[in-house]
Amino acid sequence: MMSLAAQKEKKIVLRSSDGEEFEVEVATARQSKMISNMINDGCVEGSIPLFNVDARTLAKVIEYCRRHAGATRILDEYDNPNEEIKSWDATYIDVHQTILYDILQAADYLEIKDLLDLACEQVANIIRGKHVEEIRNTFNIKNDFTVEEEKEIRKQHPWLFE
Amino acid sequence: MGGPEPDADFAEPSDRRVQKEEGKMNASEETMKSKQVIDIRRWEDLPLDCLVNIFKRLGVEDITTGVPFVCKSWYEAHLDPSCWKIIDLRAMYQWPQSPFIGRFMHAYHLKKFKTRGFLKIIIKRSHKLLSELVLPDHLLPLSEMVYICKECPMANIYAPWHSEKDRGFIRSFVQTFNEAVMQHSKNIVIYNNWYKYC
Repeated sequence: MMSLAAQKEKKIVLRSSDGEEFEVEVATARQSKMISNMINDGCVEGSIPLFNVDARTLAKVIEYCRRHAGATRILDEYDNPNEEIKSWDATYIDVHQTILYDILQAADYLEIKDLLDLACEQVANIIRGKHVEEIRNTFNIKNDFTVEEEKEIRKQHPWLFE
Repeated sequence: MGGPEPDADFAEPSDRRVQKEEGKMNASEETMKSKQVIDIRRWEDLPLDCLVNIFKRLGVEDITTGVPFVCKSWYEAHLDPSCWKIIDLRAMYQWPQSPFIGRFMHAYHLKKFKTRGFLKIIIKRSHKLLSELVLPDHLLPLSEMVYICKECPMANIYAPWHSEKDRGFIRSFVQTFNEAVMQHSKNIVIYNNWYKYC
């Protein structure tokens, strides 16, 4: 195990699916459990290829990881940094839903739990209070139920209300 | 939701969408900005874990009358017990005459609504793993509360308590409960200051 100071010095290169390279601090990279495990297993040689994350998404994800890697340090120095981070998170995740989709998938793939939760909460906020048709329109989802199937799921409970 | 749908212009047949999926990996920054690429993101194809993670954050109204009818994959995901672990009924203002009940009955083609039937659905969906039930602004009938406690031994029930109106409630609850349940341990938290809880 290297010391924290040494970790800060060391950089890691991440390569997006479309070939762009990003140099990041180890503490930032370690926000991803997947990458952290790779570092622990000593299998990081050169750059880490991330086949499922394109450059635009990776840049956005790194922005989050960098902020949150820094936040761990701030926690030691100030009394109540939570509100600040929360408001930063809220601004960060307030994006068009196509980007939100990419962030969600990347966070899932890279195993960045806090980012995944943040993205899921944002999607839940979009769904909340909407009717079925509104949800389908918002997310461009096609109704793939047949008439019979829909009838079946709508009529599954009447016996409970007899 | 009023006003025009911002994404309605991007709607196109799904077969064209599939073709673009293959080209996703090489999409350049420029095509990223074009509206074509927007359609490769299929919210119905998100991993089950992600859908469950989203749905477990929704209230009982969305999880019963919205999400399940959107598409098949969302229906499947909403059946995951994790989506039913924490149920907050406070949004059902003026239960059982709330607007939600009307929406629920319409969604499931019901002619009648019964509290017990509704609770049975929640309990069934949670696979009896219900861990938190927050009641609306008045207590459910004693028999219903005892029913939940019996069926879901792990559930904590949060209920508003008006000391004047519900005088003797705890005693009669414990009495009824003792009669109904022999061994399961149970927690009930009664809070007498609604706003403090919120």
